[in-house]
Amino acid sequence: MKARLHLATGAVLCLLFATVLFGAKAAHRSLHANEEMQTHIVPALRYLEQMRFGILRVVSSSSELIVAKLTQGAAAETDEAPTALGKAADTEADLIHEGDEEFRAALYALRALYEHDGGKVPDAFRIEAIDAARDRLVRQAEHIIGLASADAPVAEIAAAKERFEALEMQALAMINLALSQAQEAANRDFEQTTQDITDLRNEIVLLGLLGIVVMGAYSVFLIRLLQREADARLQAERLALDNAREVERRKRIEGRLAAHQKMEALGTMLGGIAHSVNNFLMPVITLSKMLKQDAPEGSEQREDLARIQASGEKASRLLKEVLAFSRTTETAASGHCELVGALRRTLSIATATLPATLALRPHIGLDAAWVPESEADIDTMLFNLLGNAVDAMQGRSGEIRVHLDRVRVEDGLADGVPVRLEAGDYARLGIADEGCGIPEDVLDHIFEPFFTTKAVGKGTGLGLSVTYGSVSQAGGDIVVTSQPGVGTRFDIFLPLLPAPDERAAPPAA
Amino acid sequence: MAKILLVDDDVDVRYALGKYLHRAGHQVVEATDGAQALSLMATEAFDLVITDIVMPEADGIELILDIGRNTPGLPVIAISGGGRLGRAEYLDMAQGLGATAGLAKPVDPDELLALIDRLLPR
Repeated sequence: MKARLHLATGAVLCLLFATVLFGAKAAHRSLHANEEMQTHIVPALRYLEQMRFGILRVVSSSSELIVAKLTQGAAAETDEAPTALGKAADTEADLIHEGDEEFRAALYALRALYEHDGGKVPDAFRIEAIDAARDRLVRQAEHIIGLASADAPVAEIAAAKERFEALEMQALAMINLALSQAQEAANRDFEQTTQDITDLRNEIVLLGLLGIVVMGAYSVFLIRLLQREADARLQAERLALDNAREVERRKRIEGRLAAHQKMEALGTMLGGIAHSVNNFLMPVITLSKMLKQDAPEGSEQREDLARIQASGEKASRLLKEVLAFSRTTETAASGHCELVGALRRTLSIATATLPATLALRPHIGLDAAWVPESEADIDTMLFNLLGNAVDAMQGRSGEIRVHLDRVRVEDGLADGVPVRLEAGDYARLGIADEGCGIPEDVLDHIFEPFFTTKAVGKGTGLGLSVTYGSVSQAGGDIVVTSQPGVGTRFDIFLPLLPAPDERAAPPAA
Repeated sequence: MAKILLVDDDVDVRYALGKYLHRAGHQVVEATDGAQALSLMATEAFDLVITDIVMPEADGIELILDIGRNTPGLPVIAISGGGRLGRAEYLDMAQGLGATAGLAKPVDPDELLALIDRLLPR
């Protein structure tokens, strides 16, 4: 398509150029021919004039001699006369012949000019006739000179002169006619050429306009083509970007889903283990307690049994936390509480216990938020997260920002952040620190039970697991964003419940 | 004191609790699952039943439902160490279905004794 268009444009330009060239050449040739004719005709007339002048001289000389002879009448003087006359006639004859030669040369050149251009001599020009007239004129001139030389009677010379003048008139008339005809032809030719040039100019203008139109149309077409191409490319880029975003979003959701499934599997496994271990602990605790009662007060045996019992009870408490995590999403939430009040209470306790280097900046954007969590679970969650934030600051000064607002989840997105949540309204509790941040490879494991980066004895590795279990069970989700060296932000999403007074009273049993 | 039916598939749990209750003066009859407990109950009368919930054969839930149907008013203490669900969920469920009380494993034996004392008719 593009190539064809280029070809058409090229052809139009070539045609334009050829026309201009052809027109210019034709105009030049026409003008040149006219010029040539003018230059040859004009000398021909001049030479004719010269010839006539010669004849007149001969005639007048003859006449003068004859008049002198008649006047003087002396025989002696007449001896010289023929010689003097003959000399003068010879001079004039040379002059005549010279003029004639040039006259002929001009005529032949004119004829050659016509014949050279491949045309024939126009009839009106009648070069042959002019040539014949010239011949007769020259012969008459020679005759006059002959008469003058032969000392012919004056009357005879005068008659010959009259005849010469008649012939001369004839030749001049012919030449004038030819000249006017040629002039006319030249004018016609010139007019035609002018007309041709005008036509040509019009054609060129027309072609130029056509060329401009074609080029304009072509430019418009080309611009459209380029625009379409650019649009298509832009569209493709946009599509690729959208795809990349979609893929990224899916990857994140799938990643989170996989992590969630992993946690569920882990929870089920831990539940199973806890069930067995709880059974194993039964005899440990029960029998150690029983034997301890039997052992004498203050005895070493009683002390040992107390240690066994205490260890059993410690193991029991640990399992209780593990079980809190294992209660993931399978059971319906039993408790509910008002988050804003719980948050304010926790924050007032936390403010009192926080190191002086840390500032707590709460921003609570809700008056009340009922969520499906027990107050104890909320307290545990808040203390776990605030505790982690404080630990992340590693003794440096800074801020811990706590944010609570309402967010709407649609199509798995909350404010553009992918979440593993049903559509609906959620309370979003954000806790952000300016601490050390969490490396990416660690981020994937932070909710796993017993996973901890804290020093031995500093943390159980269950805090976030318990939080995760509790939030999942409530039908919520946790999103963590962290940048090492900049800080970490936990966003906890909990489904918003209607306030208790708004809820329908349960039907009477 | 009281005649107690102790139902648990774990022999060590039965042994430890059985011994503790026995020392406290109770008569303890053991059963390994719900089915065995029901057949024992068909021939003997008990003052109180302590039953685990998750068991291989007929489980504690079935037993609780059966007791509710056949011997209403018989106190039942459910005990659970959890499983696919948490302990609290099992115990909530058991109480919802008719168990008188629920205790999480590992049970504090003194707490259990106190509970038994409370539940037994004076």
